[in-house]
Amino acid sequence: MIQNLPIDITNSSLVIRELITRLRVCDVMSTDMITARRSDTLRTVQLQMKERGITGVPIAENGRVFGIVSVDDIIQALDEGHINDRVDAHMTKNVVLLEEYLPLSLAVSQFQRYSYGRFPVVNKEGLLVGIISSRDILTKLLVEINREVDRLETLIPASVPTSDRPNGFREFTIKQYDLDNGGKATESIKKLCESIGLDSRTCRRIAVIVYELEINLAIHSYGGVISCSYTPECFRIVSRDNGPGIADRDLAVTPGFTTANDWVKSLGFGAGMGLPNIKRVADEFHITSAKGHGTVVTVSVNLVQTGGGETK
Amino acid sequence: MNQISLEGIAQVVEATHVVSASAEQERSYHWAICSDLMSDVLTRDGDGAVLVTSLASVQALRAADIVGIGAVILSNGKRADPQMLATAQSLSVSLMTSGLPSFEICIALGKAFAL
Repeated sequence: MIQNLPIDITNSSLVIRELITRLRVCDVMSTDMITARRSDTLRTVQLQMKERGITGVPIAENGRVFGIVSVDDIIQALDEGHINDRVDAHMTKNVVLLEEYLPLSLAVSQFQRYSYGRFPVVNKEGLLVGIISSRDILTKLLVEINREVDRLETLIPASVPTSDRPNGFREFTIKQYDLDNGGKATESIKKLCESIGLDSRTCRRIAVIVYELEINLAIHSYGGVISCSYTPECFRIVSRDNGPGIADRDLAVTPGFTTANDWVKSLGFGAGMGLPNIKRVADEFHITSAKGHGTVVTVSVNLVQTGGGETK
Repeated sequence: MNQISLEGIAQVVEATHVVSASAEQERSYHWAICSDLMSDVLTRDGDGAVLVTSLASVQALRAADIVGIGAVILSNGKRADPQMLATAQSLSVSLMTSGLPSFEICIALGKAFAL
């Protein structure tokens, strides 16, 4: 019996929601599939299913999908004695097809809507390129979640040794995709700034920097650490992560440039203004990164003379 | 520019108060920022501004708080979830929701501020 996919598109964890939005049907589908022709018999399809251990076979010729035969159709044929009939006499003809570049979230909703066990996948020309089953989806999600867990386990960014910590030192660990807590480090730093008597404009500049760094770590990195410290002359903020790194640093600080996916944009971020905003309000801004490695962003705000820039 | 109270703004944009931060009751506003992208909000100094957004998320409140915006208007009838309500209270940012689209809210506020 076919069961609905146990995936709640709306209320699943952030990791699951990000995965099913980022992944496409073509990332998950099987391309190693078998098909049958309309003139084949149901017995032929039954043997194909038995040999390959599958429960559904698309009926297609030259890439064009004419129908699908499921294991239920075969059971019915055996039951009613028409197992040697041609396929096209008994196949399901109103087949729901999925386009290969659809987000996986839409595929999941189709599975839940129709309660089918599989859907043929077609390209833009409408030709069959694969087949996707609920098992394919669960397997892929499991692989991706395992990868995420591995990444989290190895993600312990180098922390500043306690003995080397300067005055007023604060450190915050930011987890990947954790936007529910995004901004909490900023709130804490803002209170610190107010408590040490910084003027409201300087407090806002520092808050903008920490907030953008926090959000960047959550949406672009595998997670990382933000540390802050201050002297009477300078407030210093450092963001460190373990990857995936920035391929082109100049491009990354260009206003409007973004690598954010649709999921991130739907949450109000990914406008390509994060690093430019930080650079705009900082007195010193330095970024070290390379694709495949971690990124370190070091930012300073002068407390004695807050810079002459109008926007600061 | 006209200075308008929070109550006056609620009338102009047909909004319902969801969270009225106590310190905000006497505050007045004379301009608005409208965006669903929070980094855009962070480019502005928000004194005297209300934020109009359809982003019903705690991040709208956090971005508003960072730049000094005292009130957020959720457009298109968007509802605030419990986490958003708690954050608004915690940050002392007033929150209201209007059934009007962002564009119409901006027109209404523009007229009211310019009167």
